[in-house]
Amino acid sequence: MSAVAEPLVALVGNPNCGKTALFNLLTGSRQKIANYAGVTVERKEGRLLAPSGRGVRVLDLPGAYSLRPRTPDEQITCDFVLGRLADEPLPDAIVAVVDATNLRRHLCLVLALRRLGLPLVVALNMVDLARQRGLQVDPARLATELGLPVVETVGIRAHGARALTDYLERLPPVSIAPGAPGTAAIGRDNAAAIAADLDRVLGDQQEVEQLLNRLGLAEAPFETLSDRIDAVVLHPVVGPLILAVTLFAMFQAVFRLAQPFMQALTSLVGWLATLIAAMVPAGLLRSLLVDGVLAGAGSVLVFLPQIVLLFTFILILEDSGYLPRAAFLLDRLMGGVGLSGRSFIPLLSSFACAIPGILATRTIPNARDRLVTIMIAPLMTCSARLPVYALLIGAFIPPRQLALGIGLQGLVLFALYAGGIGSALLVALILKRYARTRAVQPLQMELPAYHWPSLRNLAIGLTQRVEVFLRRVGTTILALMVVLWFLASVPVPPPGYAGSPIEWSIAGRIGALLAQVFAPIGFNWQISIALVPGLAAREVAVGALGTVYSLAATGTDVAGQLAPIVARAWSLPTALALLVWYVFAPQCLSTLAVVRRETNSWRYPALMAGYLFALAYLAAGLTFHLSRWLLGAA
Amino acid sequence: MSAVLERILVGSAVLVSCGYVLRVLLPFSWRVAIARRLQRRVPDAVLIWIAGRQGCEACGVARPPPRRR
Repeated sequence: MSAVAEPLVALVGNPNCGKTALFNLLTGSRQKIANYAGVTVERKEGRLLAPSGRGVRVLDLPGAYSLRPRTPDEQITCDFVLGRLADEPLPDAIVAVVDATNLRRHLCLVLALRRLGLPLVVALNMVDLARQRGLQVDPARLATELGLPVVETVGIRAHGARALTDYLERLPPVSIAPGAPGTAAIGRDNAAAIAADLDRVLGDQQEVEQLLNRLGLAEAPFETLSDRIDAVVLHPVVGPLILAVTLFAMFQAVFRLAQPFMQALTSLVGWLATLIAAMVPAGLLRSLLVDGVLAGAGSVLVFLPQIVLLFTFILILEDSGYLPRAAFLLDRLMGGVGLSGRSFIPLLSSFACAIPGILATRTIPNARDRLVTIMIAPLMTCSARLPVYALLIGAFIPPRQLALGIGLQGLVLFALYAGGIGSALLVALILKRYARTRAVQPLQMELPAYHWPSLRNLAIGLTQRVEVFLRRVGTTILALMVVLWFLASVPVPPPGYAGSPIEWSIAGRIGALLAQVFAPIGFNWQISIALVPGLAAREVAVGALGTVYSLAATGTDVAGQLAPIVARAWSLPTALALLVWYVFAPQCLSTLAVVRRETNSWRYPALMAGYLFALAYLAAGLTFHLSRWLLGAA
Repeated sequence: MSAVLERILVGSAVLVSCGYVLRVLLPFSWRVAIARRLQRRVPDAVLIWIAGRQGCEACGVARPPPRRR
């Protein structure tokens, strides 16, 4: 007996042609999209439910320039469409997504895909942009020339994929019977022949050129607005200045604009603590809620406005198309330490979190460059470190205005981010010195057209990041804080014990032991305790400090008021040493797990953890003793 | 609130949190191995929580409910 399965359709195309935008539109998914190549590095599957009620499985694949993979992400796409994956069936149809503004390059891949012999439809994407530029692409004529069905799409419009949906709805049903060959088997045989006959790049280019001639689209493109902007933005002198000013302004704004919202959240957490203290009688439950939950998780939650602002700026830069320009500008600097500008995007992704950054290294063709980029990615300041930085800067750096309205706190935050970048480049230089090959790979990167950031993309991106942050606060951080509260509350000290009860507790004793290791770099036992749960997620350290100081204090004053407490309890050298520790801080366990997966070895995560711990310890110690000497001398 | 009820509430919160932290810290293969050991001794929902949807689908210790669309 045979069953009717839903057809499997793969979206294939050059990088940055709008595959993921189409995928989101077809399946209702919310996968990340941005205006640069290499955003999708893994296959993503979703389901299209056509108006008739018919289901179609849709696969979003990483971008590929040809069926000759040069990078690990291209390899995924090529292996899939060529049927080289043992556990994966060949798709029942391929949707070749092409950028209507750049047919010359995108049609080469269509010709290669056509030779596979699988059902193929061309999605002529970004037709709105092409029309704006005066390019009149006739889909019917293009379909005749290619001998393939062509549908127009606009991936960023709500109904931009209607024609494609109609086409996919009409795909023939796939009959799956045990032992019966599927449609895929025909393609698989063909794919083997195609794989052996891939040396047709020049022939394809000539064919595309002739085709464009016949369509009247062969003329050299005129100068666009993007070209005029690039004349300034990519200028060898003005370009780097614009980049520096943009990043500097971003960090200034993160500090300044977030303040009122942070104060409101702090007041809310404080009000909740007072409310609980009034409603729940003194005892274990009140201590858990006030000292564990509110002082711990609440201390992290108040940094939400800064996270939102930081990501707003990053998403705007991503969507506008400026980021690949930044990679281009930094290529020379990266080349100086033996990396290419291609490492820039993975490193930039690491500002959000090292994990997507490490996954994004799949776009780097050179294996050694990729490994070096993975090893330095945790040195980029991830958003989890922002609460730690913000807490310490708020506590120790006065909110003074320097010249030109530049705030001192924002300047310190910028310096910390710059410190992370500088140390990453330094480590890359050292790692490359010991590499067998020192040849610098030339940067080949597509510079997409600038466009205004889409409000929809911005809203989706921000919502996702806020969800991730809140989920983390509500799950991992909350659970860790409850466990830490428990360890910091038991055993209860004997009657007549003179010290603070927390010093008698399990956590207090662990902290005292760890303090032996960290005392030389200026860390007290409270900081030493906070570093341990900080291995699960870096921002947990802030929550842990909140819980530890809350249990050591009386009343409900710690919840949401951590900054003034650490300002009183620590010296400036200790605070500076902790800031520097977090510039290098050994990465969280999830990052190590991803490095293990991406390098297929425990050697590199072990090496990474070891070198980052040593670097953090040395740098924090140096900062502590140097600042103590300087302050003592002053 | 009685002292017993207070201890039950606090104890449950601590136990659930310890379980969650362990789940976060343990490698995937360990979680699947634990779920295998506990198979048929604890409800499927617990096995799915320990090994995750992916783990359950891979080793067949429990059948997770279909994905929400």
